[in-house]
Amino acid sequence: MANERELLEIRNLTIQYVTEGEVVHAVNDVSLTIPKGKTLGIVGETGAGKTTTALSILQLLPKYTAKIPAGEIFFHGEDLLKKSEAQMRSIRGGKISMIFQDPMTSLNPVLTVRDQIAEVIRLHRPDLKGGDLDGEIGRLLEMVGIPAFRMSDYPHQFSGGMKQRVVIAIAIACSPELLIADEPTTALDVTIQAQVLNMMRRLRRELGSSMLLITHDLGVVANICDYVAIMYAGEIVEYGTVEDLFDPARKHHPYTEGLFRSIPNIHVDSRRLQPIDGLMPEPTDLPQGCKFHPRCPRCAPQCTVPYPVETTGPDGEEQVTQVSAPLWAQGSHQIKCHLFAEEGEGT
Amino acid sequence: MIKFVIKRLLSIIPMMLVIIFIVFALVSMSRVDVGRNKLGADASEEDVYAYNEELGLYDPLVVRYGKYIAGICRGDFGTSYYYNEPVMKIIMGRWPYTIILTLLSMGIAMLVGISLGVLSAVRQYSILDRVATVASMLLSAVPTFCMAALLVLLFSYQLKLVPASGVTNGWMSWILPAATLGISYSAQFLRFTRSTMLDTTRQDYIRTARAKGVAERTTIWRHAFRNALLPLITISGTTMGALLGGAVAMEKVFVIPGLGTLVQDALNRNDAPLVIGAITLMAFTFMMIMLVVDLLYAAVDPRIRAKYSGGKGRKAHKKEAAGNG
Repeated sequence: MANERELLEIRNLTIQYVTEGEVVHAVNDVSLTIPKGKTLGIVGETGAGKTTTALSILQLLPKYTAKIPAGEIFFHGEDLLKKSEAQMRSIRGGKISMIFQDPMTSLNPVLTVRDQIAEVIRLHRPDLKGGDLDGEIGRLLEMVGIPAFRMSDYPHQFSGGMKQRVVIAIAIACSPELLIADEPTTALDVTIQAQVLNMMRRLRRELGSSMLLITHDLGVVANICDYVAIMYAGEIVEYGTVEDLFDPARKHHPYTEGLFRSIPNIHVDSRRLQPIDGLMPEPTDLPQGCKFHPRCPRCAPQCTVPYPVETTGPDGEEQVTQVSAPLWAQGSHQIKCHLFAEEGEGT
Repeated sequence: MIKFVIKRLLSIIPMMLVIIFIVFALVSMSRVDVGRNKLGADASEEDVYAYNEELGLYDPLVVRYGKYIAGICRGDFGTSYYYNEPVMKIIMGRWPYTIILTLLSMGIAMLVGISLGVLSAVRQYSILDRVATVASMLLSAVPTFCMAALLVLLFSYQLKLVPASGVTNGWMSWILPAATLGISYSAQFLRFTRSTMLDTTRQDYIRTARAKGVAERTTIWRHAFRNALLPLITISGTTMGALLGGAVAMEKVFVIPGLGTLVQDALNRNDAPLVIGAITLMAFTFMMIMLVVDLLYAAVDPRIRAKYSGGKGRKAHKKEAAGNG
C-alpha cells in the first residue's frame, strides 16, 4: 500500500498511444509522489509526456488510442486506475480538479460563467442550492478577482486572463485536495502570467491543496514549487526539492544542466545561450538505454544499452527488469544516470 | 433584439421587390399571345387585341410591374389566365398539401438523422456507426424518385400496406411520401450531424466538462450538442425552404396536388400570374424561414445574440479589447 503521508503516488506508470501501425511511447516507467499540501512541478519540453501523465491521473486520456499497460496511481492509498468510470466521475472536479492550458477554448461558449461554475458545485456539493449557490459562485469569482455581478456573462465577454481566472474558479470550486495545472499561464501574456501565478499561489495556500504544476518555465517552478521532476521523452530523469534542482553546486542530470544553460542569466555576460544540440527522439522510435544519450555530451558506451535491475515481483520472486539507466539517490534528490550511480554514493 | 427583428423584416421588402421584378421580367420574355390562347384560333384580331389591352399586356414592363406591386399591396395577386380565379385563392388551395408534406418529412428527417448522427459520433467506429455511415451513403446516392418508386412497389403493390398515391385516404396517404422524403433527407442530416458532433466532442470545453465530473450523457447533450446546433439549424432552414418550394418529383410520383406541381403546370400553360404569385410566395416563405433561423441562432449562441442586440454586445467587446490590451 502507498505511504499515507503522500497524497498522490504514481508507480511505474507507462502510457502508450496505439494508432494504426504505430505505438507512441508517451510515458515510460514514471514514478513520482506528491506529499500533502506540497506542489510538484513537472518540467519538460513539448512532447515529453507531461500532459499525458496529468490526464492519466483523472483518466481523461483519449478512450480509443491511449493504453496503460503498466503502473499504479495511488490517491489516498487507492489505485485510481482500478476505479470505475462512475467512481472516477465523483473524484473529478471534486477531490482532484484540473486547470487547462488554453483558457480561450476551455470554457463552453454557449453557457454563462455562472452555469459553468454551478455545474461542478451541483455535482460535488449537492447541499448548496438557490441563493446559497449563487452566493458561493460570487464568492469564488471574487476569490479569483472577478466581480460577482459578472457571473451572468458569457465567456466571450471576458479577456484571456479573465477566462483563465474563471477556469481556476471552476477548479477550486469544491476545494480539491489535488489541483492539476497544465501550463496554466502558457497562453497568457507575461503581465497576466504573473497575476495568475500569484493568485494560484495564494489560493493554494488558502485552500491547503496539493498541486501538480506542469510547465516548461523553470522560473515559474522556482517561484511556486516545493518539488520538481524533470521529464524527458516520457521519463523522469531528475527529481528533487527546488533546492536540490536549483543549486548549481549539486549533481545534475546532463539534460537538467542543458536546460539551465539555455536560460538567459542577467549576472553572466555571455553573447549566446547554449542550447542542447539535437531534438527529442520520436516517441514512436525511442533509443535503447538512456533516452537522452544521443544528445548527451557525456555519453558513455553503457548509456546506449538497457540497464538490468533486480527487483522483487509481486509474488516475492526475484526478477530482472531492464530500465533505461540506473537511479542515483541522495535524500530527496534522484537522478537517472550512469554518471553518478557508478560513484557508489547512491543505492 | 426587437430592433433586429424589425430591421430584418424591413430588409425583406427590397429583396422581395427585386425577386418579383426578376421573375416578372423573365416571365414577360415569353412572347406568348395570352388573348389568342384564351379566346382560341377562331377569335378575331380585334377581340384578341382588346383582351390583351384590357389585361394591360401592351403596357411597358415597368408600368406593368408597378401595377402588379400596387396590386400586391392591396392583397391582389392577379387572376390566373387558366383558372380564371384569383391567384391567391388557387395557391392557398394547394399550399396546405405542401406544408403537410414538408413538416412530416422534415420531422422524420431530423428525428432519424440527428439522433442517429449523434449516436454514431458518440460511438465512433462502433458497428452502429459503420452501418449508419454506409446506409446514409447509399440513401444519398439513390435519387429520391427512384426510392419513391421502389417503396411504392414494395409497400403498396406487394405488401398492400399503404396507398400508392393521392391524398384521399387521410393520414395513411401521407406515410409513403413523407417517409420517402424524410428518409432521404435524414441521410444528409445524419452525415452532417455526425461530422459536426465529432468536431464538437473534440473541443477543449468538452474535456473541461469531463474534468468537472460531468456524466457522459450530460457532456454530450448539454455541452457538445448545444454547440453543434448552430450548423444544424442552418441546414434545417435551407432544407425546409427547399421542401416548401415543393418537392416536385415527390408530388408527381405520389400525385399530391402541392405547390410544386402547381407551378410546373402553370409554366406549361403560360399562366404568368399564377407563376409569379407562387414564386413570390415561395420566396417570401424562404425569407421568413431564414429570419427564424437567425433568431434561433441568437437563442442558441450568446455571441450572436450580443451582435444582434447591438449596444450590450459592443460594450462587452470593448471590455474584452481593454482586457487584452
